Amino acid sequence: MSNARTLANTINSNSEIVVPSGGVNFGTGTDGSGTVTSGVLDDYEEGTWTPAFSGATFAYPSGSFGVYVKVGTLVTVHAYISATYSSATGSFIINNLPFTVFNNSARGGADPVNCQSGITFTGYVTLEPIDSTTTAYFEDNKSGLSRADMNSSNFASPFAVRFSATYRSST
Amino acid sequence: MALTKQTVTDKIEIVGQFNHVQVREAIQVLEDGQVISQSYHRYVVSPLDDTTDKDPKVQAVAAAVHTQEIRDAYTAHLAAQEVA
Repeated sequence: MSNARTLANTINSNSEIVVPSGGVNFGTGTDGSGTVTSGVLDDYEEGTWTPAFSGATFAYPSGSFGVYVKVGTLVTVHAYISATYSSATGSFIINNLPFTVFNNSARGGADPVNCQSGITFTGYVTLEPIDSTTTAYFEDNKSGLSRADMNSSNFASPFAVRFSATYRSST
Repeated sequence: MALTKQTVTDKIEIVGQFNHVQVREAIQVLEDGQVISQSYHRYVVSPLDDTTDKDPKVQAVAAAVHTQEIRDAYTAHLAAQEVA
């Protein structure tokens, strides 16, 4: 009886399963190196964010749009930014990801960037999330050379960029 | 039947070694005071961010957790990420 009541209380009037706390437990496993990993899926959320650059004084006359989906600790963002700028001071960085990046060198990928207009580069462009921050660097990846942070020498004003990025968050 | 729209700060979290203040806003459409639709918008207040245009609750939390020690450590962490 107790179990039946608990199950009934998790289904709402829209026939949705509600998990107010805890999560869905798939059990635990190991990551291959002996470390026990969590098998609990405890979060799902989707929403919007407003991506912004730092590294100059930016304006977004055509808007700046972002959406995110978070499943467990894995965050995927999609964004489109059209911007103008002046008074450049350093690397051009996305400085407001919607969730803080996990503190680990395996925090996430360096996903390719779609350079819509006004961007020059040598190799190919990726977006690199930085651990324990909400920032991500645009990197010019050059064959046989170290990657380089991109800045005003790579971006005209105006420019437009579209990207997706997946990274692991701290929560 | 009166439709209204409001944005409320519905979750504030302090995250990670630099006390990032993670904020979720709920954008709600109400009919006669009852929420009939809701979506989320996110932003994060980093230790070096200006909070003057943020919700006073967020300002208060950020002021409490973004000490000068945290700001200095975060500044050093960011500087260490630059590559040529």
